[in-house]
Amino acid sequence: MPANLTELKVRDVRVRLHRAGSGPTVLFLHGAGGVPQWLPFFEMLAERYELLVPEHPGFGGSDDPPWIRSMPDLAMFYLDLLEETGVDRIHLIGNSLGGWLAAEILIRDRSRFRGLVQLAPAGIRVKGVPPGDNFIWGPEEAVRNLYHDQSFADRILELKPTEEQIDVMLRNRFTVAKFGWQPRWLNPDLEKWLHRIRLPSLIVWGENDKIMPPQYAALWKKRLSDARLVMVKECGHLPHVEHADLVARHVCDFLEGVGP
Amino acid sequence: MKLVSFHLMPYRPLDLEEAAKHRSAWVVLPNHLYDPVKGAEEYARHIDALVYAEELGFDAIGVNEHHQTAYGLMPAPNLIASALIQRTKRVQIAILGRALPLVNNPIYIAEEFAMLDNLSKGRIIAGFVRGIGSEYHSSGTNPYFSHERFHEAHDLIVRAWTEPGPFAFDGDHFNLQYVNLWPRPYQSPHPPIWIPSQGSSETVAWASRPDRKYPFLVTFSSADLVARYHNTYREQARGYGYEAAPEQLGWACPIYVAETDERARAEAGHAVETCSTTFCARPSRC
Repeated sequence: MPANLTELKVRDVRVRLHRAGSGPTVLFLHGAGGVPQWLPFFEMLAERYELLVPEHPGFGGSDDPPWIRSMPDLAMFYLDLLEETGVDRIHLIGNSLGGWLAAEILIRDRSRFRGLVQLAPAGIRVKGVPPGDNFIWGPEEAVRNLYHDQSFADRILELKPTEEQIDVMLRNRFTVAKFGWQPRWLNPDLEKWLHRIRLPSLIVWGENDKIMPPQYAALWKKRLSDARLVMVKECGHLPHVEHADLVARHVCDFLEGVGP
Repeated sequence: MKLVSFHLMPYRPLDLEEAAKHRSAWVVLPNHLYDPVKGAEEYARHIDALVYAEELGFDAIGVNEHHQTAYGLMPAPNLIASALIQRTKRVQIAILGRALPLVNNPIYIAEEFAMLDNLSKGRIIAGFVRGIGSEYHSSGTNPYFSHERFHEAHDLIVRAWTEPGPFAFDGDHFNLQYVNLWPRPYQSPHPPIWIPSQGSSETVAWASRPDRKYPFLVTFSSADLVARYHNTYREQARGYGYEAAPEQLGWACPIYVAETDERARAEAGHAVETCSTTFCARPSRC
């Protein structure tokens, strides 16, 4: 099922939204790579849910207002967006930077949300275990370090991006630096508020994640009041890409349990 | 034309074979490769060389700032400038430059320059730079806000040097209730400001503005690029309604002099090559 590409406008900010399927609403918050393609994982979710995948301000084809300067700003913008569109009873899925964003949104206002799925989220720090530094890695290294199974990296590295895609990658990279450079992938004021999330939560983590090391999974489990943790074998930073079937099954089972 | 003898103060005893095993001579080169006994000798010899430049008749001697690298041992160039002040009489001392966006309180830069200007009785040239990519790793500064921080820090420093204090400064990045510089700079209204750059057109437009007219120094670029950036500066100045003076245009390049070109290549070739390969090699995304 192909995604329907639409555009929202909230507070003069145009946000590009990929949308597919019908059923209870699932909002997927993407990570540092943006939404370069419609993933098999999205297909699977769209069979049972109305799946919304927005491109965050500053990424892809969305606007980049100068007043969004931090992850808390981005979270507040999403609360405006949801209020304006009136979407309710949402299941929230976040990956990496998107998982960080999910947490920043929920500690501020969880009233529109039902269940939370965290796929290797950023945003907190296990002291003494720094995250992998994708800002210092070379372009090939950065792709390779995302995956455990290098055939995924090989396929991406074989692609010859168009001029337009290169522009988008550069744009995404600037925005990622804005949010994640300093301190690296961390809001020091996030962890102490995570207890406020109080939603049924599923945490999914690759055992071979080179960006957010697996030790982070345990800390998230400890801080989220009602969380189940699934560690995925032979899996890097993008479990929903590398093990789409398995992760989709876990996510659907979990969301089924949470109810609409 | 004025001549500046400029030093990067590399760590020359670096084990090149060992260094080649690492991503870069910057940020991540393990510091066990630095030997303090050899390093102390390096400082002594580098400082002697700059002091000798006064005797040779140079108009100025120059130092610069880089962090966490074998490429240059001057994370705090003002310390070297202070030593040079004590050992020279006449030359100007150019700090080319301090990287403004990297500090959390630019008042410290204003204060240090003002101190050096007093210590040297007005021989200081203040260079302002944004700093190359590597510095944003080693200082933990977000490069996304680099331009904003540079401009704000510059405005704060110039106001601190020239406006009666105390006053309050309300910036987005730097916000201070009390700005009140002790000491004030020796030179009036303040030490000359130079802008070393690798030639961004934004920087040219900013530096050449009539209320600034800051000398623009093109660093380590090929002759045609130097000419192009200088012409851009001249055009920009004309756009503002004035002709750029020769002293507004500078460049930095390595020069080695010997009896013949052949001998110069034989004597300095290896060193120049090592500088541009091992010492300049930076992390791929810096």
